[in-house]
Amino acid sequence: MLEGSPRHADILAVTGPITQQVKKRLLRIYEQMPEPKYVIAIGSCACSGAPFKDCYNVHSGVDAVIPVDVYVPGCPPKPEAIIDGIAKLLKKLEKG
Amino acid sequence: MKRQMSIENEIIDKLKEALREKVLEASSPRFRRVFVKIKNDALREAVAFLTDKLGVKHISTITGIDSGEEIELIYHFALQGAISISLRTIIPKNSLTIPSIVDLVPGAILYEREVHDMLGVIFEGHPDLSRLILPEDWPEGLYPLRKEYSPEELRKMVAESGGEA
Amino acid sequence: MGYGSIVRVPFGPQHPALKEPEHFTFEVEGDIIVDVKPRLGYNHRGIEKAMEVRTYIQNIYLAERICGICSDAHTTCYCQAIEELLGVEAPPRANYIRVIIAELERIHSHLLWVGIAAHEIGFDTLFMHIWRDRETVMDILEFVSGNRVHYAMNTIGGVRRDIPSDMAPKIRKGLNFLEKRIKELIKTVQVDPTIRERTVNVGILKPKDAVELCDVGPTLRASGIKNDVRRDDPYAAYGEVPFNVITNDGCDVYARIIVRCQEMLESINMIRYALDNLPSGMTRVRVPMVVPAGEVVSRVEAPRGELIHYAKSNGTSKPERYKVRSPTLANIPALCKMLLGQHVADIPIVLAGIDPCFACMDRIAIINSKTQEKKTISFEELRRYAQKWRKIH
Repeated sequence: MLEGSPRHADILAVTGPITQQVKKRLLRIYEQMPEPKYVIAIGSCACSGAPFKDCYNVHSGVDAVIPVDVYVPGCPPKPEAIIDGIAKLLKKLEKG
Repeated sequence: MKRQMSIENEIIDKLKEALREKVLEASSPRFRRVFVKIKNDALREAVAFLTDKLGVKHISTITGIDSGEEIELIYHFALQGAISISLRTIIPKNSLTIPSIVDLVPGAILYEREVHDMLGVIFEGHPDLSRLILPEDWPEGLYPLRKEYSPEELRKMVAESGGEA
Repeated sequence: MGYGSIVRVPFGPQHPALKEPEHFTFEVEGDIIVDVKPRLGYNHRGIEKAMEVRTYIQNIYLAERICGICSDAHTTCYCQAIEELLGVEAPPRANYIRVIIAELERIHSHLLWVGIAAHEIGFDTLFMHIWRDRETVMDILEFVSGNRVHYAMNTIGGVRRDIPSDMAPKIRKGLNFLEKRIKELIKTVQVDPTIRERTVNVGILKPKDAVELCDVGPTLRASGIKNDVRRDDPYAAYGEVPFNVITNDGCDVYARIIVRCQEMLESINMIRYALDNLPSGMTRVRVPMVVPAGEVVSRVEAPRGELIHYAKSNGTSKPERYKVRSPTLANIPALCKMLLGQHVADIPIVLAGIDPCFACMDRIAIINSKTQEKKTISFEELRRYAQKWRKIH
């Protein structure tokens, strides 16, 4: 279920490159989420920032800002890959 | 596939006739492409000529290039959306101002602002040269397209000054 | 497990209580807009600078990722630019394939946009149907290129993959389906009273203003101006593939919807023509890594309008300078003009009307002209306000 506010969310899905501005808001959103909380980095930019490595306003991946539980690489990842990533995360959740 | 480049050459001839020694170079490398270099004090005169006498109404964008001691400005116009006329002029870095052409070509308004953001050129008479595409907390006076900075150096400088949790 | 299909809602993240720069500031008197100030920059990555430290081949990859929806337009524009600097021409077969991919991308972009416009109006059933149809064009693109987004078809010297004749039947089948659906869509748009009410006479852009503000693309053509880079400054195989430049004299958001829908039908016919007349021969020519010193202006008609790249080479394997001006930037001055005199409630649909290619429309500021009191709201809040307001007025 797509939630309107971080305070009601269990999973944070992050796409796109992490720019200077996004860093701040990403951290704030993550801090507002109640435990237990999980993060999926979707796409090569979110995983590592690699495609834009020479771009001065882009930093590395999501895990430079907040901890990541599942990485879904691809530029862009296929829908099936994203579903697979979420399925993996849910399995992880089930195991506790 | 060479056809008579009559329109392109006509444009060059007319510009030379109107601006005379203020046209420093002119060429047409292929059909639908014209490149003209003018003295920087002739910018407004050249643009007015293009719009009034040649019927040029469209500016596609303005490119700024750091060439060391100078900044090269290229105004890319399009005649009837078809012929690209690139008007080039050079301004020295120690006097980085040039008149705005926004009153002659209203569509140039954001392109001048962008060149200001990225290279620090001041367009005199522009109504609003405030930041357009650089992020809010980008350090003042740091012009990313200047050759003196590499992308890595820029990133370091931004991380140091932008400084947040 | 039963997840069904995952719908990605492409609107920005929620960020309560964060001070952010607004991307548009509206000054209002009552609820009428009297001034609009743009200020972009959320997505600024620094690509032009990065291109200077990468090789020409590496930069194809970067050019493709300037934009997710018009990635092929950028690579076509880029590869053409470098080919011109090298003094080479892509082979005829490659040029036809470039047209096929570009027109498939146009259909995709326009469909995506009409869906978003429907969503802005609150017509979510239509939005869902259109986005389901959009899957068909993405399937064709995946079939041809291997990817739904970022097709990586273009390279310097031609195209990287062929479209062999045994692929054609499946492509045609998809096109036939799309043609049927788009014709139905046009009928729906023309008769539905809600759509007409929210878009007719909304966001008026007079032809004189469109030209003066150097507007581009479907927005320009929906104000009756017959400019299209494919016809005016032909590239790839556009000099040979027949098509109509679609214009409309409505000058409003409704006209912009109709123009894009009809452009999609044109695109379908162009792809059919290209498949029927695909020249035999090579799909690419070999090119050197080092590009002689020179400069070039390259232009294409991206889905959103004129896209222009300028390149300066210095005799090495990396560009001296690479400049990109995407069509959305060209439409912003006209956007500001067409918002003047509009109601605040019309902001979402008018903004959407130029088909903006940035994800940073998530916050706007509204200033009361008399009191200078400033309020910042999220786009989502504005959209909800707009839909409520329209029900009453």
